[in-house]
This record gives sequence, structure tokens and C-alpha cells, in this order.
Amino acid sequence: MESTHQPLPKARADGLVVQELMDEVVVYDLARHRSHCLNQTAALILRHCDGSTSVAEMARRLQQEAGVPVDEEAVWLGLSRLSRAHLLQEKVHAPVSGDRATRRTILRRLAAVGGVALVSSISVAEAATGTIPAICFTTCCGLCQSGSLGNNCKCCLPATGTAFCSGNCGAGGCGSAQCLAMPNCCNPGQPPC
Amino acid sequence: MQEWNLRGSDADGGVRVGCLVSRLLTGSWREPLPPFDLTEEELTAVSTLLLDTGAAALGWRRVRPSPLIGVRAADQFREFYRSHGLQAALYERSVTRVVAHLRAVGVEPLLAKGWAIARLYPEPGLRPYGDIDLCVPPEQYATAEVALRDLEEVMCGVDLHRGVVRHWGRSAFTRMNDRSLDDLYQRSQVVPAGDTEVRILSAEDHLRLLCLHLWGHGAWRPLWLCDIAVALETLPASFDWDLFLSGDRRRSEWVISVLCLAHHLLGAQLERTPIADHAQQLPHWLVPTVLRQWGRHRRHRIPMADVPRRPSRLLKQLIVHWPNGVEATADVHAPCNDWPRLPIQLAACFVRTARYLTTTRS
Repeated sequence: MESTHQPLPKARADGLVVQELMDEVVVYDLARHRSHCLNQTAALILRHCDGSTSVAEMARRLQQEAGVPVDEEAVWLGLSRLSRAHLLQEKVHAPVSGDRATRRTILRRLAAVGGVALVSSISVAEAATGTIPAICFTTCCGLCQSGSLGNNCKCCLPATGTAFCSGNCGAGGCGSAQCLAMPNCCNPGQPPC
Repeated sequence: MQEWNLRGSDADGGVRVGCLVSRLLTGSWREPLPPFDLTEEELTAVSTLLLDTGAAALGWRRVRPSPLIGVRAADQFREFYRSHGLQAALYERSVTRVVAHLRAVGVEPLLAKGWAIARLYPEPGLRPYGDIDLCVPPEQYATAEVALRDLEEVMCGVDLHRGVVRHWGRSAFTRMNDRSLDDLYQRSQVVPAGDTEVRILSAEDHLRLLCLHLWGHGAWRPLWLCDIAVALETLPASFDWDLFLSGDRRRSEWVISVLCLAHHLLGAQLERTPIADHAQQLPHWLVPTVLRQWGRHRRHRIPMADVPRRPSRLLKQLIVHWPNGVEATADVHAPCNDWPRLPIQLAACFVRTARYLTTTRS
């Protein structure tokens, strides 16, 4: 399973701000202005990406630390997710395994180890204004009518990016009482606030 | 809190929702957490208030081990927890950069609130951050201001204070003007922050500042009382209560009331402290006033000078600016006793109007 044509995976050392939370790790990419939420499995894999630990060794350690069977294929999957999120120094290409069903099985197993998604990206707006970057909440959706929060709910004011609707979606949209001041907020998939 | 036996007009909707906020946040900073006893309906009723006032991450900490972990409100709390966690890391980075930059030009700043209190919580991400509150000696203010203008890549604003200004003001450090800046520096402590160290107020001065800050703003954010509860339960063994209570007598009266509030509303432990006896002597209006404040959305206050000169807007902002009993007491430097607050609230409005007129004329 080990690929002999690529260097051993190494986590980026610069330009990342890492915060360990209770059951996940949040990473902010200072260069790309993106943040990622890693579940416990992905966080463990990233921690072992020191440029000298082989995938086989990672799988062994992961099994020890997580207490569930983890094979090399699972580690490769985790590495490819971390690589896609630009958290590794060099791109990692997992050895070809075209079996989607197998990958789904692995994902399910990894999910059981630590949360639902291995790496989920939280979109953040560019931090060019010298403020703490805006963070998109997954509960945001769609664009609001400018300044009104009238027709769509779960969204922020697109013009200013300063509000977040905490209410339930409904015909009436987001009521003003549920429209919260939230300076670091923007719509996922939308241009920076 | 239940011992306050809120009845009649006190038991209005705002107070009832405020009670739910109080129940949810009680002990939310502790390890182990107290039992969680809110229903899904109750949690939903307070979720917006918690999101709005910066206490959502503490809400997440309470909900995380409970059966309500899957409900919508819990999902929202979790998102805020992640966001605050990320911001905590970025904020600490900014703090260390700012402090290092000021040191490079010969200024040693004193840090308060924000990071200085967040470090006492059991895990990162439990409270949001605003500006970095720094105090520098007045004679170094200009140097510090210029240095900060040159500073790039700092992701949050810096609120620079010129010592402890000798007038009663609303900013964090002016509330400490019954102490000299020299004394604050002398008692300050240096603590590790990231790969450097920062100078923060002593435990006595910081707790007093937090209490006066909450009091001056009418205790409208439950998070501020959580900060005080955390500080109270992590006091160093050497904490000097006499020093903490020294200075302006009226303000010392207020800080005792704030600590008693933390005890009644959040279960902060006052036992084995010299003010434990005061806990049963709070004025009757105080707890309902704070609960009512917690149970209602606080509308955004625009400085009166900036309010468009249209009667409807003016009236709306006048209502929004109406001070609650706590804020009014602070505004007119009134005693925290059992006397009714309405005359004090009216007096506070009069004082503010006079101040506003003086400012606009000048």
C-alpha cells in the first residue's frame, strides 16, 4: 500500500493557526483565509504528519490512540482530505483504489472514530481589512434582500456581512428579533462580506 | 436564584426567560458540569439571547453532554463555539504581536478583559473577543499610538487607554481611577501568552475592573457575570480582599453586589470569602432587574449625537437609551440600597442629557 514515489507526508508548519477544541481541531489558513474543522481522526493523522512517519506507522499509531482498527487505506483517505485542504506541505496522492464502496466503508469507519466529516471547511472572508476573519456559518443560506432579512432566513446581510439570522426558516423569513449582530459572518459560497 | 421567589410584576416574561438563561449558564464554566435540566422548548427560548450576547459557546458546553445535543439550538451553539475557538487563537496571536511591538518602542502595556479573563476558562473558545484593551502610561500614549499605526497584520482592534483618566467614564480603565496607575503597574503580573509574556492586572484589580465594567453597562450581558464567576472561582490563594475592596467606597459597595449577583444567578461560590454574609442582603430590585435585562433583546444603542433628527427615530433611541436600575445607579454614583430606582433612573437621564448638551455645545 505504501507509495514509494512520494515523500512522507508532512504538515505545513507556517501560515496555519491551529486551535484544539474539546473534540475537534480548528485550523485557520492565514494565506488562503480559509478555516477547517478537523474531527479527531483527521487531527490525529495531521499530528503524525512529521515527514518521517510512514503511512503504515500512522495506521498503527492511530489504531492505538483511537482504539479502533484503522488500516493504511483509511489513513490515505484522511491524508488526501488534508491535502485537499492544503494542510500538508506537498500534495499527497493515495495509491489508486477505484472501489467506491470500499471508500464509503472506510469513511463510515473513520466517522465512527471521531465525528461525521473528516475535514469540513468553514469559509471565511478575506482578512484584508485587518479584522478577525469572517466565518461562514453553515446555518446561513441564500441571500437576503438587502437590509431586510425579509425573504430568506439563515443568512447574513450580504451588503455588510454584519448580521446572522438565528431563527427558523419560514414563510415570514427572519424576524428582526432573530437578526443578530454578528460582525464576523458571511454567506457560504458568497463573495467575502 | 429560586429563593428570590419572583412574584407579581417581577415574574414577567422577561424575568422568566432571564431565569432560563441563568439556569442554563449556572456552573457552565465548571468541571464537572452541573446537571442539565432544561427542556428543548426552554433551550430554544433562550438560544437567540445566548447567541446575541456572546454566551452561546458556554451554552454549547452545557448542552454537549445532554440529550439535547442534536437539537437545532445546540448546532448553532456549536458553530459559535468553533468560531470563538478559532478567534481565540487569532486573538492571542494579535495580542502577542501588539505587546511585542509596543515593547520594541519602550512601552509596557497593561492588558485587561478579553484574553486576560478568557485564559481562566477551562478550555478555549468559550467566550468571544472584541478589541484588545490596553492601558499605557499617559506620557507614553503618543508613542504607543504611533507605533500601533505602523503595525500590520493584527486581526483585531486595539483600544488604547491613556492611564486611568481622572474622571468618571465608561471605558474599562477609567472605572479604576480610584487607584493610581503606578499601583496598578506595581501589583500587575506577567503571564505567558503564546511564545511571549504579557502584563495583566493583579487578580484583585482585574476582578474589581470586571465588576465595575459589568455594573456600568447595566449587567446586560450574562457572559460578563460568567467572567466574574470564573475569576471568583479561580482566585489565587494570596488574594487580598482588603486590597480588592479598597478605594472608592460606593464602588466597593457595587462590586460586592456584583459578586453576590454571580452567586445568586450563576451559582458562583462565595463561601469562605469575606463577603459571603452580604449574599443575603442584596436590594430587592437587583436580581429581577438583571434577569429582566437578560430575558430581553437589547436593541443597538446609537450615540444620541448620531441619531437622525427625526422625531420617530429620536423617540426610539430615547427608549433604547433608558437605563436600567443598575446602569442608572452607576451613572449617578448612587448607593446600591433598597430605595426605589425610578428617581435614580430619571436622575441618570437628566445627567446624560446635560452631558449631551454640554458636549454638543462645545
